[in-house]
Amino acid sequence: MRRAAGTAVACAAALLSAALLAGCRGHEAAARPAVGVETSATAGAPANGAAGAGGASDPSDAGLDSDLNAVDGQLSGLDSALAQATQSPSDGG
Amino acid sequence: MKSFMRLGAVTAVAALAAAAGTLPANAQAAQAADKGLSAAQSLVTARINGRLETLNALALAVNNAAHLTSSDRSTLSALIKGDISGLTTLRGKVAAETTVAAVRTDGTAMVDDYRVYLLVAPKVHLANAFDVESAAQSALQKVHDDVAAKLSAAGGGTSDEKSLLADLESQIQAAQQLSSGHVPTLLAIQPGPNADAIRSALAPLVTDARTARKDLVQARSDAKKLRADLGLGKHGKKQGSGSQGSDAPSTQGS
Repeated sequence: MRRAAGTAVACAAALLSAALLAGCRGHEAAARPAVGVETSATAGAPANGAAGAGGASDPSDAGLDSDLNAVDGQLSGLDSALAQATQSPSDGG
Repeated sequence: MKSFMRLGAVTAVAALAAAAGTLPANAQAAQAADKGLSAAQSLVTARINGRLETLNALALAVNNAAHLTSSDRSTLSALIKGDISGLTTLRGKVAAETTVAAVRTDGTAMVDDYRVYLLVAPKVHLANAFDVESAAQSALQKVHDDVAAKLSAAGGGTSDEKSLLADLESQIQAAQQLSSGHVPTLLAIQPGPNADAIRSALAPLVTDARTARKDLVQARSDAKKLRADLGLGKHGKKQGSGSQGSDAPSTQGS
């Protein structure tokens, strides 16, 4: 029983890693992790991530995960760009 | 006659003494002026160097930005290159100035003619932000279309799912309306002496970029909820509930 649970956890972890890597390869070359650095609006990400891992065996689901991971990376990049764009100018502008 | 000669001697001595006193004073003033010029040159040169460093960092940012369109990248690169060239020339001019007033004028030109911090940096980062938003919109639209196809295949989905899907689409469209067409406006803003005018020109663009970001975050949240729901459905709910799980019968007839 314990071994079965361990195997299931290992499988889920492996699938989640694969999904994350696919997302990283997708659109964002940034070093940030594709998931987990988002704003409070994505507080449900862990649960969603688990669901995504469960569906990663379906190629179309993997595509969805990949697209959503890309969006995560893009929105992280967006936060950074907006923060930099709105920094107070120094030294007289 | 004697007293006249004595008076002349006294006057001569006084004149000599006065001359002896003024020479060092003039030299001191000249030294002070040199010092003032040198300090002014050092200060303006340091400020120019700061701007050049910022411009070099911005050039790297432009090169590395994954989602900048080639047109925006080209425009920004040309702007940065031109500013680097102009400020480098200005630095040479500052070094050759002979008066503090001329250095001051150069210092004003350094700010007003370039606006590196107030305008160039926001141009780079905001253009990048708008282009990233455009990329995120495309990715979310693809997610929307995929999810819509899945829901349709599963009988249309529940009313919650339909509502989420509709919200996903409307958030994407709202973000598109807020972020499209702004980059040309942004890149057309020119440097100048009126800092407030530049801030006023930038402000609505920043507001729209931020609001579009909120829409995209909401769209992503909708998409993730739908994705999670589809994931659950994959393990029973959705597949076994073409009729049972759908709290609002599908009108899409699939």
